[in-house]
Amino acid sequence: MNAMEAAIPIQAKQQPADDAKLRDAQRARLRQLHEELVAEGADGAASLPQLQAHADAWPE
Amino acid sequence: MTRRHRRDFLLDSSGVSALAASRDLLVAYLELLEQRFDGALLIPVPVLTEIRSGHRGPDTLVDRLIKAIGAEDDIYAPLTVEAAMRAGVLRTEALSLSRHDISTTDAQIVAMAEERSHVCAVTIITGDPDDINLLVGLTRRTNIAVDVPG
Repeated sequence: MNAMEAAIPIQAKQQPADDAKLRDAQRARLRQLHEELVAEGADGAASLPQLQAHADAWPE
Repeated sequence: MTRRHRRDFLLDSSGVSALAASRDLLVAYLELLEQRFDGALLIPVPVLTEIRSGHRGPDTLVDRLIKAIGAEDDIYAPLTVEAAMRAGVLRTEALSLSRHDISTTDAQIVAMAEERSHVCAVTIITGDPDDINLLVGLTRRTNIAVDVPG
């Protein structure tokens, strides 16, 4: 790859995050972490509305 | 309920630190991810260098978050050769517009976000958005968001 090619915006390559099984496995681990944190007393209720507002503004 | 669409989240080191500093905030992010997005939570490989000191105990929230994400195992955001090269270009352009240094890691994260933005929308979670926003603007990609935790 030369300098001119590097200046051109890059395209996507298949990555681990594109594997459906790996994504599903991660979601399961994140759910487990969520359950553990909630069991330890964590509560996202105060922050979630603000995050939802942020997410509403994120471009698709 | 809002329909779920694909959006991947890239955490920079300050984003990891912010989520690891507040169990409540981390729980809120996990709930947002679960409720609204078909998304992966990703720590770019270069960020692992910044957040790993070797001094943390095995039970810190950073370690639990890394373990749940799987950043050192089966799901991670690799720095491709193309993204590494692109990061250099973005950093050089950003330096010409900035009065201070632009970190190599920030440029790499944004190049990786640019790469992923051809597959799905991307949100970069960072505690230090100024340089990230500058770099994202240089990509001209319209589906990359920058979010500051809290």
